[in-house]
Amino acid sequence: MDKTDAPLQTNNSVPAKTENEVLITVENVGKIFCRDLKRSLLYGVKDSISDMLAFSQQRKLDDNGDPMLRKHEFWANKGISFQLRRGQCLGLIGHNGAGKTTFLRMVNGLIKPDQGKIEIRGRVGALIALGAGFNPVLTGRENVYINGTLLGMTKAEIEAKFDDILDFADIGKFIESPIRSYSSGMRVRLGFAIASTLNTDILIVDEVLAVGDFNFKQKCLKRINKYRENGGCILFVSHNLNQLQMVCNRGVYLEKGKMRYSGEIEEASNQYFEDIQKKEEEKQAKTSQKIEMGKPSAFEIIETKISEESDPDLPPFSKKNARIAITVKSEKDSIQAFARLIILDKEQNVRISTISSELEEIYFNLEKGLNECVFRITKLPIVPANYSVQTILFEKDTGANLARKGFDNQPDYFRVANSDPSQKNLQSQYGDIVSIEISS
Amino acid sequence: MSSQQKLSLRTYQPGSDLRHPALFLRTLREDVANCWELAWQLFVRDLKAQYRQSLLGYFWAFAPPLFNASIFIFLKNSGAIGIDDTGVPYPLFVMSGTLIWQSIVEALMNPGAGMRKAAGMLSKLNFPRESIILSSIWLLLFNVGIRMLILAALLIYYKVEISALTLWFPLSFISLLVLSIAIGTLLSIIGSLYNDVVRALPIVTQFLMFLSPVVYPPREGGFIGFLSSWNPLSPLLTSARQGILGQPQTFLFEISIIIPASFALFIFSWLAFKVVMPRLIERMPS
Repeated sequence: MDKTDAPLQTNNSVPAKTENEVLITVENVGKIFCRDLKRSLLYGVKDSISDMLAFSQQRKLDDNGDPMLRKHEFWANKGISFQLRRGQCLGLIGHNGAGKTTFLRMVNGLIKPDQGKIEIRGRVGALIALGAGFNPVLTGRENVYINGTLLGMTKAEIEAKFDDILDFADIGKFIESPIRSYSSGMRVRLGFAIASTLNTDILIVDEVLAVGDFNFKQKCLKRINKYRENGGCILFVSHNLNQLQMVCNRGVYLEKGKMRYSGEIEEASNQYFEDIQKKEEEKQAKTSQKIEMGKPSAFEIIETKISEESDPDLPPFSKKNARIAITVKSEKDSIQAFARLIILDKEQNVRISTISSELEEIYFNLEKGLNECVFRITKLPIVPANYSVQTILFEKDTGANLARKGFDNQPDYFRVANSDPSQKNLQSQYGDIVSIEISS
Repeated sequence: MSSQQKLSLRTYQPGSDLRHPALFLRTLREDVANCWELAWQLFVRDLKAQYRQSLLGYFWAFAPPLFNASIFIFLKNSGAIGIDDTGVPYPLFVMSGTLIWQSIVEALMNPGAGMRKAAGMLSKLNFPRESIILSSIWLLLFNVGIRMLILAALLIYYKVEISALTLWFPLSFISLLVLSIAIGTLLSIIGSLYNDVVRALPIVTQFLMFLSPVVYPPREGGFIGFLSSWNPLSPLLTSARQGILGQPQTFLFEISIIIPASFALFIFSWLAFKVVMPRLIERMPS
């Protein structure tokens, strides 16, 4: 990396012929960890000695040529392969403990794989452990120099970018105060400002956008996007699927260390999401059985299904309705009821919309047994993503709450797919293009 | 986003780095070239932080050896312990001894302390790992420098004459530090796995001080003489002190072996540190 390179934001001089070069090659990479601390340390000593003696075969191989595990060991990563080129951004998806961070640590060269091979071309920058090496007693200014050097910048580079760092971190006069007087948000902002100024070919981002206020997050995402446009390549870990879909174009889904899927980010996050759903349903099935035995209820919402439905009567460009079907089990006859649906993001953090059939004067007649209550909305103007829906059933005359689903038990899920590929870029750019195609 | 055509390539694969010597040497060369500025920054950071939150500041660099020495001056003067004739005034003898010894203790402990302090960075960021050891060496040299000023003041006070024999001092003392840093680096490797090292080191160094001719002159025979001859620090220590006090060298044969061995061990400890580092980082809390 040339010392005189322009800073991240203004650099747009990517040589044309290297535009698509492969920067990261990962071939069948695996990593073994040990569950037991005492044993892990013992293995550490043994492996260190065999490293020093340069033994060729440190692990016995099984019949398939795979390294064999010793007692208490497990594969933290296994069979991961992909290539990443300039301008690409790969999102790593997986549950906690799926091995995402372990994998990033291997790419960053902190730990070595136990199987396979990783080839890294170019300088690697990491947005991990923002503000590592900050000394609380020293001032922000002093720490910028230390942290910058730690990340591989020269003193001259830091001096050249100092104003930019200060501007991005937005901590004002606090730069002359000791870091110990900073709020945690300020610390992260300063850390991000330093790390993201780095002029590297590869950027590793691990859950750093979980902290900080909204404005700062937006600023960070913008900077990361810019970085990619300038020809960098990014490895991105986040639990926020929407964020991933906005930044990344490729995805790898890890489950228990193994690569379940590698390809488009949408498909990777869908598979991940489906797995979550399956797991929760299984869990739900177990607990609901217990509840049912304890307390029988006269009404039960079995499922709320939201799907698309073509309607030739509608004007062009909006030929699809959202069909909402609620399956209700009733033990009483002739009950007039209406339904209220609350649509939330899939993590059930943000309420997106509330739909009540009462407002449209739609009522259902519930009979003993299974009932399917159907109503439609023309257009459901929400962006392509996965959503969850909570359902409440009320009695028409009394307004009494008959049954609920999705509050203390499993909500239903639906997915808004994106059929128009031309919208994809717009969506990833603005995150606000409306799409109306729904599938379940 | 490099505008250069050729990008540096790094390959990570299982097995010992020593099996790919060309690659390993290239990495070593790159890391050594890149570690200086960072080591300096880390050193300055630790130094500033250390003294910014302290009233007495640099006093702590030379206080422990002087306190140590004053205990033995007191014990000897009160007749509680008998010490053979040292050839120079006892306070000069014991102070030069403890000032040198304190430097050894720091050289043994600094690499491990540096590693512990840097564990959080080591487990998350990739930077030339040498800079941790190098910055602990800077810290050592800084404190040694302060002690040398005290030592110089003592020499002037006791009117010790500078002669050609004084030239032995830098050679032996530097070798002594190199040997101690090498041992300290090797200990830091074990110490980052097992905390026994951290616990044992203060006790062992205390014990070692009494086994080495720090507060008493070297003995020929007996149990202590036997231990001294097997303790590689003793001949270097005695040689360094004989150099500074202008006395003739008595361990020329021993130090002619120990000095090259010290430098060889230093190289070995550095290579070991490099080769083993990923194993250690794997086991550091992240």
